[in-house]
Amino acid sequence: MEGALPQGAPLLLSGPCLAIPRILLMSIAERLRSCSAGVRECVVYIAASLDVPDSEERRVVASYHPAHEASATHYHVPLEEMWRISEALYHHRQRITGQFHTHPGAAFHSDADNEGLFLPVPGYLSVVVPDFAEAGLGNFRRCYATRYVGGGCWEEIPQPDIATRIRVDES
Amino acid sequence: MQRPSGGIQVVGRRGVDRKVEGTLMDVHADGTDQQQTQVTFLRLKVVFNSEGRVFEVNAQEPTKTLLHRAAAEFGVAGEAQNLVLRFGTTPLDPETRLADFGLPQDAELFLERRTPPRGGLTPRHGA
Repeated sequence: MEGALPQGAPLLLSGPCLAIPRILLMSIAERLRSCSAGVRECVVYIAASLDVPDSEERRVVASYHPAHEASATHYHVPLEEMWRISEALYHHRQRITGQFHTHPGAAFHSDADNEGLFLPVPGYLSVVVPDFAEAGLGNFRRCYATRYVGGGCWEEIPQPDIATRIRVDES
Repeated sequence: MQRPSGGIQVVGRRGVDRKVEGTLMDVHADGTDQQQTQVTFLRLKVVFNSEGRVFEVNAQEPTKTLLHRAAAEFGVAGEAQNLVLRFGTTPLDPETRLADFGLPQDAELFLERRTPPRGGLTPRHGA
């Protein structure tokens, strides 16, 4: 994490910061793998409901796979697609709370990843999936996870802790 | 005609739930010419990440005034330089006035990133 935490940043807790149903996580993993097809990056956004009071642990209720341009080393979501998703979120009373995206090799957060998130919202979780998600998302093995805390600062989640911080619900 | 104090006179009142129009009088020094400009107070809904808030706005103020108010209201004031207000498919230039956009009463604006979401294998800081 770079720099001091900004005022109002979410507390850095060791408990879960996100809860996601397993069936939804499996769907995201398959979407990432099939869209990447071993040759291009892919991104899927995850959304929480506005009707659930905000808490340290946000529950994922939906995912959005945007139309995007991509190569083996980048992805780009057109503004019009971002607007389309924003309006869908508004009508479904949901908000983007994080994203999963693929890398061709090792998982890490690049400068473009730091600057290119869907929205600069404190608490936004970003998970990078290595090897174009060919190995899926089981136990988040070799994934990289980090959480935006505002003011350009990120809280990196240590790899062994990812499976604890992202709680997978069987229901 | 006497020159109004400060060169302008605003007639009208603020509306809470409706648009109220006033008249901005610009009287030249010789008192022979005058130009009238509409002053409009708007009640706008700004939506950020699907949460909506209502703002009462003087349409003669620069759009960036509303943008900064909204960013502060939504707790992302530090990100204001990366945000833009959108009406329909039109991003509103922060340096111009809301009055210039011809927004309807009770318009709905979206507060969005200024640039498209993206990712890629650029070098990391310090790498």
